[in-house]
Amino acid sequence: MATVLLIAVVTIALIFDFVNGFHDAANSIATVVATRVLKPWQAVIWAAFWNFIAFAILPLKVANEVAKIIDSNVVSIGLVFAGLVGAIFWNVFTAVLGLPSSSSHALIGGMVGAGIAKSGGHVVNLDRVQKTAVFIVYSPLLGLLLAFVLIVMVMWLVHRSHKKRGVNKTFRSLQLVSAAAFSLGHGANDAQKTMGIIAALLVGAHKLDASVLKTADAMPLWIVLSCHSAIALGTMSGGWRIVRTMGNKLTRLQPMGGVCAESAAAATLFFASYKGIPVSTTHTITGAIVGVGSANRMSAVNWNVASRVVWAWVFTIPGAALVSMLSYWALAAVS
Amino acid sequence: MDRRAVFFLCSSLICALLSVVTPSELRWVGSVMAVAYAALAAASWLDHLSRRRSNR
Repeated sequence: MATVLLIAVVTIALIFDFVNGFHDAANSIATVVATRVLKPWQAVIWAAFWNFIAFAILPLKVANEVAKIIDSNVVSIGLVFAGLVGAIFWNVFTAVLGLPSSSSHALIGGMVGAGIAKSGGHVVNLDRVQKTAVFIVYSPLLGLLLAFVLIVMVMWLVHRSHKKRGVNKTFRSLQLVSAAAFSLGHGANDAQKTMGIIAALLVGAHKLDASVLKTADAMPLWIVLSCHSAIALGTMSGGWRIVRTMGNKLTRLQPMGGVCAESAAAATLFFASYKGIPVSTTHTITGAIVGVGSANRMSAVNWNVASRVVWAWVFTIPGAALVSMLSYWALAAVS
Repeated sequence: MDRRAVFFLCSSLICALLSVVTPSELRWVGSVMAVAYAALAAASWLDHLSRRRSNR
């Protein structure tokens, strides 16, 4: 019975990963589709490929950090299940309200809440939660800063260039590189969060040796491959949704701005992945887009959307934590 | 008033305040961002002033 439950919870975690890819597909392929550099089906495969291959290029430090957020001695099937319920509920709830919340922060909040409900606050690794919490604010601000500096530099170079005719063509081609880089960063940072949760669950259930949590390289290959496959498949499925809905929203994008925003967001995600910091890819690209927009004029930025992101920052971790605490107590009461 | 300069200045303050509660090995991130945003705020304000003068 315990094995069946374990497989069920691992499956839920992988579905969470799939939905994450589905949700974020638009961030990766919007610009290349809008500017007709790639056909929608080609863009979807391009993004999914880089999502999948990320494990071979970037280190698995984020997975290792997420796995250690809760003391592995108290991690159980019920705890991870309650954590996932909290994260999924929070994602659905904020989607209904139209708040752009982060699935990554919801997952971390969910795990923290379930951990506190089971054994109290002392099982939460506060250093790691603190690192994640400060980067909720740093990652979009870093994306914004890099994107602003990049677009200003590019505009200056273009202004000085004598070959202005070829600029658009050059940036259309560069979009392939920037979209690939962003998809790589997205695959690395987001797939690793689920990887960390699955590893912690298997160590807690004594199906894996605790030594896999000691270094970032010790993660079993089947967990790595299944998480990257789930996010890549999610991206492919989410991409098809964009094929149907693309229209006015996407056609306003310019190749130069798209390249700068994606490159800045990718650089932020690479930095976070190298430092083992779980960050929200959606918030990072949102910050980068605001950076590009604010280089022209502040009124070009939709500040209503930006303020909603801030509310999502503030409430996601405590909100998901609260729901998973309630879920854990409900689960403990019925079992 | 230059709204962009105000926004950058607020971002600089947020980064400076956050660097206090950032784990020591990553504290430099907040400090570097605070300085960079402060520089951008000053540059943006100067840009705003020069545009206003040229419009007169």
